Amino acid sequence: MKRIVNRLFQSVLIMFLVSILCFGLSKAAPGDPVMTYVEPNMSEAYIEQLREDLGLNKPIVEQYVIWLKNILHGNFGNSLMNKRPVLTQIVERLPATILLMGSSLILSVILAIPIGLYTGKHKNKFWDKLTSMLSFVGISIPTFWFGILLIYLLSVKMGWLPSIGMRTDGVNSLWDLIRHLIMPCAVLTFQNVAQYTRYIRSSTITELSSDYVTVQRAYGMSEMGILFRHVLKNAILPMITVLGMSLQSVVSGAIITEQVFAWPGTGQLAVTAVTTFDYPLIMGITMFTALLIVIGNLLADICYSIVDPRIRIAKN
Amino acid sequence: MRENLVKNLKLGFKTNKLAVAGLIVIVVFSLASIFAFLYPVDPNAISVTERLVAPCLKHPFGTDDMGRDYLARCLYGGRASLSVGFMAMILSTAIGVLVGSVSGFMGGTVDAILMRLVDALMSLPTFLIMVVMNAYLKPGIQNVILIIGFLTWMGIARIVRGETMSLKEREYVIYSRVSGQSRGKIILKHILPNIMPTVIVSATMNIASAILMESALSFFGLGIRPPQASWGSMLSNAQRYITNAPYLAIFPGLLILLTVISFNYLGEVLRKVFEPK
Repeated sequence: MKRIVNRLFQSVLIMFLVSILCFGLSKAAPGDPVMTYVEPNMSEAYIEQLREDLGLNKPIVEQYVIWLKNILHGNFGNSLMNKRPVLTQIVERLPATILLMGSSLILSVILAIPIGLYTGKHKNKFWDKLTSMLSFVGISIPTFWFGILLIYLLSVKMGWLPSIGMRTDGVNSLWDLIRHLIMPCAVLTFQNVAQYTRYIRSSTITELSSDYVTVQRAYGMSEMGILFRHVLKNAILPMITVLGMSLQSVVSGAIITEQVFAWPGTGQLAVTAVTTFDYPLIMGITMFTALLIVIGNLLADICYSIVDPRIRIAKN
Repeated sequence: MRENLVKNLKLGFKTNKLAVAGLIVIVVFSLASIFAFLYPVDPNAISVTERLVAPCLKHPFGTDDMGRDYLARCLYGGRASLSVGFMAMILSTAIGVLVGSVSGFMGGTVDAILMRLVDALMSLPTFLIMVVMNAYLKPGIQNVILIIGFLTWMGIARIVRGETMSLKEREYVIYSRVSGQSRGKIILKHILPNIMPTVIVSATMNIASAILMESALSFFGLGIRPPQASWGSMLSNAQRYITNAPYLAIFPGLLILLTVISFNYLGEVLRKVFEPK
């Protein structure tokens, strides 16, 4: 319990640091934020008034406090480009990203566990070597290039799948959505499976050489029984932490993948925000994503200590 | 000790043929990009009559949408990508080793503050921040190196900290502390040489990830900008011509993949050699 409170405190501290960094970045950015509100026929005095109203004349610390207060109240400000609330825009785009990231995460775990177990069990055999090679490709391939190749092969050459977007205009079927989802999901999944398999494989190897497995063998338990009743449980435990930690790379992967496949999620919104210098939107998305990652890490940590009593005991 | 290391290295490479191939790829690509000027074609020479020529004898990699020789652009692009990889690695390793060794050696409040900073930076959506910073700063090779370097040192810092903490309890370090050597000197003389293997392994893998990040940034048009070539920016251009000139996408992508996978394999072999378990 004490540990969880401690971690909670740490997470708040991290978010505080992130917010300073985020605010600092936007203040260090070139350009005068008031200029985005200015129209050609405005007078000098009016612009000055606008600056005052926007709070841009206040000391920087005060500006930060006001900004932070607003964010804590869920007010991320308005986007410069279309003047709509930042939070609304992020929330609008969220389902698409969650669909993409969620489906690929679930698929990755489902694929990685059996592959990792199998290759860990049959260490240095043919399939293990092949998988290891493929996973090296998986962690080394540029996400966007893999995406482009898939588009070229499956859309341009074969014409099997739609190349970009999330839905065909005017079509509102689940099948259409799935057809659009296949390629971006495959790109993200390949990358994730490559990482996760390596972890599960190595923990399977460690578990298989541990004493309790030898004891079980001596009692005459079948290899399959050992693998699924004992090793599996212990080998997938670290996956919780890995999943929490990989959230960060999943987010960056999603940004790139969404851009390549024109997937209308928050990643694409982020890139649009950056290329149009929409500061409130950039800050909003950064804070929001950081919050998600921090919460993800926190949850992973809490889950881990609940599932694995060894940690609770060790820490107390 | 040193003899042993060489022996282990030889053995490591002997048992991992792919790592040998990786080493060759790295050496060849590095030499090719250093001596790119020996290939007597200007990578920026535009030719209206030779747009999108498929690979042939005169243009082994074909030409791009502006009639520029693609092999020349790949060579100079490799120069940009590899130098970003190396320079960003040097920067991030330097920061990581400094922070990690100080944090591990000093302990207490300094350690707590530095490690919370590392935690905070690690929970940032790194790539998003890179994209954001690139937009704020002027795009160009220098800024790409700085941004990648300053955002990727945390992993090394954590590893170095852990090793330093266990090293500083060793007898010879305690002895030199008791005998009155300064902290800086102890770190330099006794700690750093012993964490070198781990640092080299992380640094090798860091080059791989830096090259990947640079290519992704340039692909977004945020890293290295045209007309200067980098493998990533070449790909972002290639996506538009994917239907009639797929080779434009295939060459730079393959080069990135080969380079990155080679560094990863090399790092893996080094890891096995340095930590024989």
